[in-house]
Amino acid sequence: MEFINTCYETTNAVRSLALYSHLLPALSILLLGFFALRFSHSQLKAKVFFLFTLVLAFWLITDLTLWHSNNQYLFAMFWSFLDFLAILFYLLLTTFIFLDFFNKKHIPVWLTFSFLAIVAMPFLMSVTGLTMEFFDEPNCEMSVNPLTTKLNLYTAWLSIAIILLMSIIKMIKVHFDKKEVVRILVLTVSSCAFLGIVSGAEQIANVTGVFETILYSLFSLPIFILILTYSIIEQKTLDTNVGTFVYARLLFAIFVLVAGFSLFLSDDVSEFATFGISTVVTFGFGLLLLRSARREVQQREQIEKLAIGLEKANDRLQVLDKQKSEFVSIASHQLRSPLTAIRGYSSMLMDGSYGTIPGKAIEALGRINESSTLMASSIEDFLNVSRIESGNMKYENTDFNLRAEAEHIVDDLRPEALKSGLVLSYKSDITSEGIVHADIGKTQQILHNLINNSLKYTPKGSVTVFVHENLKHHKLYVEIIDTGIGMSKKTIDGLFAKFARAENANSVNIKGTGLGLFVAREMARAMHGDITAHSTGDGKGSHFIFTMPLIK
Amino acid sequence: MGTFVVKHSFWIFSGFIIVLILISVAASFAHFFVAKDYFFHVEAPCDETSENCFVRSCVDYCPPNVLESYKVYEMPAALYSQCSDNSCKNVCEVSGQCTEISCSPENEDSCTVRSET
Repeated sequence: MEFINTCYETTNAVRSLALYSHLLPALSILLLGFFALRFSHSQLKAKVFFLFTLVLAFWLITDLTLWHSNNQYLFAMFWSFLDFLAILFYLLLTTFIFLDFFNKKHIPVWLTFSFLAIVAMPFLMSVTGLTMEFFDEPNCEMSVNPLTTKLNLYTAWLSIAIILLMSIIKMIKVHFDKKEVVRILVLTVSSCAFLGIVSGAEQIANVTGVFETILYSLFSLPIFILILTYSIIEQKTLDTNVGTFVYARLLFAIFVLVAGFSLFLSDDVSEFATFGISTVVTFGFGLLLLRSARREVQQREQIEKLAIGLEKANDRLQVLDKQKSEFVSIASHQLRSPLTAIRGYSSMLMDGSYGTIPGKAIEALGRINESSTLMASSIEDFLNVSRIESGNMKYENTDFNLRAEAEHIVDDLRPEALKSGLVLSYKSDITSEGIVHADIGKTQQILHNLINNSLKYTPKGSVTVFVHENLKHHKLYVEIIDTGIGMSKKTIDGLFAKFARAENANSVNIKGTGLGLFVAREMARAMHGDITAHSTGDGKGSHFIFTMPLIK
Repeated sequence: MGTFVVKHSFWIFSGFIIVLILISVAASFAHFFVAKDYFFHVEAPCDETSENCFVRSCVDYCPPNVLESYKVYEMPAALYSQCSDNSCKNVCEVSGQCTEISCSPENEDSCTVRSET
C-alpha cells in the first residue's frame, strides 16, 4: 500500500480558494488596523481596533496555514489554538465597539477582568491540548472537543448580545440623532453579521465535517472590512486624516492583486466563477471607496491650503497693526507737546499774564483753548488705544474705595451738568466699604468717561449714578442711568468697538473720536471688571453698568 | 497604583492578550509538535468476511485511502512518523501500542453485518 499524504490530498483542490478567502481579508484588515493606529494613535479605540485586526489577521493566517500544511503535526498544532484566537477577536471587536459607543478614555479594570474571565477557559483548554480529542489521519482533520466548539459559539452569541444592547443604549443616549443612529447601525449590523457568519460557519464545519464552509463564509469578510472602512472614513468613527486615502489605495491594490493571483491559480469552473463574482463585487466597492476617499482628501487639502493662507494673512495683519500702533503712538506724542504749549500760552494770554487783551481777542483765544483741549483729549484717546493694543498700558493697582471715588466725580461734574440744565444725582445702598483693588487713575478715567458721555448724550432731564453691590458674588456696580437719546440694539452691539458712535449722535451735535468707550471697557477688563450698555431704544435713555470685583 | 492602572490601561490589557496568545502558541507547539502527546486515528483495510469492519459509501465522498470497509487504530502521534503506509500496520503490529477501535452500532457507527452461518 502506497503512502498518501492525506492532508495534501484533502485540501489540494481548494488551496487557491483558501488563499483568496484568507489572504485578501488578512492583508486588508491588517492594513486598516495599521492605518487606524498610525493616523489616530492618540485614540484608545484606535489602539484596541489595531489589536482586533492583529488577532483577526493572525487567526486568518493560521487557518490559511492549515489549508496549505502537509505536515500532520504542524496541522494539529495550528488547529489547537484557532478557537482561542477566534474567541479573542470576537471579544476585541466587542471591546472596540464599547469604547466607541461610550467614548471611554481608558479601559475600565472591570472590563479587563471580565475579558480575562471569559478567555480563561478556552485559554486553559488550548494550553493543555484539551481543545481536541484526536487527529483523524485519513481525513486530515482534528476531532474537536465539543466543549471548545460550544465555548466558541457561546462567546459569539454573548458578543452579539452585548453589541446589540450597547447600540440600543447608545441610540437612547444620543436621543436618536439621525446621523449618529446611522453610524451606530452600520457598526452594529456589520459587526453582528460578521460574528454570526464566522462563528456559524465554524459550527457547521465542526458538525458536518465540511470545512469548506469556513472558506466560503470568509468571503463576507472583505464586505465587513469595506463597511468598517466606510465607517472609519465617511462616518468619522476614528479621527483619521489624509492617510485614509493612502489606505484606500493600498486596499484597492490588494483586492486587485489577490483576486488576479487567485483567478490565475484556479483551474475549476465553479471556483473561477466564485473568484470572478467576488472580484467584481469587491472591485466595485473598492472603486466607490477610492472615490469617496479622494473626495475627502481633496476637501481636506483645500481647507489646509486656506488655513495656511489665512495664517500668513493674519501674521501680516498683526505686523501691520503693530506698525500702525507705533505710528499712532509716535505721531500722538509729537502732537501732544506743541498742544500743551498752545493750551498753556492761550490760558496765560486770557488770564492777562501778557497784559490786557482786547475783548474780541479773548473770544478767539477761548476758541483756541477749547479746540486744543478737545484735540488733546482725542490724542489721549489715540495714545490709550495704542498702549492697549501694543500691551504697554501700565496698571498700578491699589486698594481704594470705589463708592467714594464715584461720589467725588459726581460732585466734580455737577456744576457742568447744571450749566447744561441737567440734574446729576448720586445714590448708594451698599453696606460694605466698597473697596476694590485696581488702578485708581484708570478707574477715575472710566467713571469720568461714562458720566461725561451720559451728560453729553442727554439734552434734557437727569443723569443718576447709583452704586450698589452683590456681596454673594463679591461685585460692586456703578450704574449710570440717563434720560438721554438712548440707543437702538444695533448701536449697542457695536458700541464698544473702536471708532463706534451712536447713529443718532449727530442729533445732539457731539464731537468725539468714538474711542472713549473702547478704552474704558478695555481698561475695566484689564482690572478684572467690565462695562455693559443697555437701552430700551432710541429716545428712551441709556443705562451703563461698570462692574468691579470687591476685595474679599 | 490606581492612576498607573488607568494611565496604562491599554498596555496592561493588550499585554495580557499578547502574553496569553504567546503562551497558547508555545504550549501548542510543545504539546502537538515536540512532545506529540496525543493520538492519531488511522484506517487499515478490513476483511468483511472475517472481521468486524467499519463501512462507508464512497459514492459522494471518500477519504484519499478510498477504503469502503476498514478498521480503525488509535496510536500515539509520535509513532506515526515511523509508518510505512497510511494503515501503519508495520508499526502497530510491532510496537503493540496501537489500540483497535471496535465498530459499534451503539455509537452510531456503520458496521459490517456478518451472517452467522
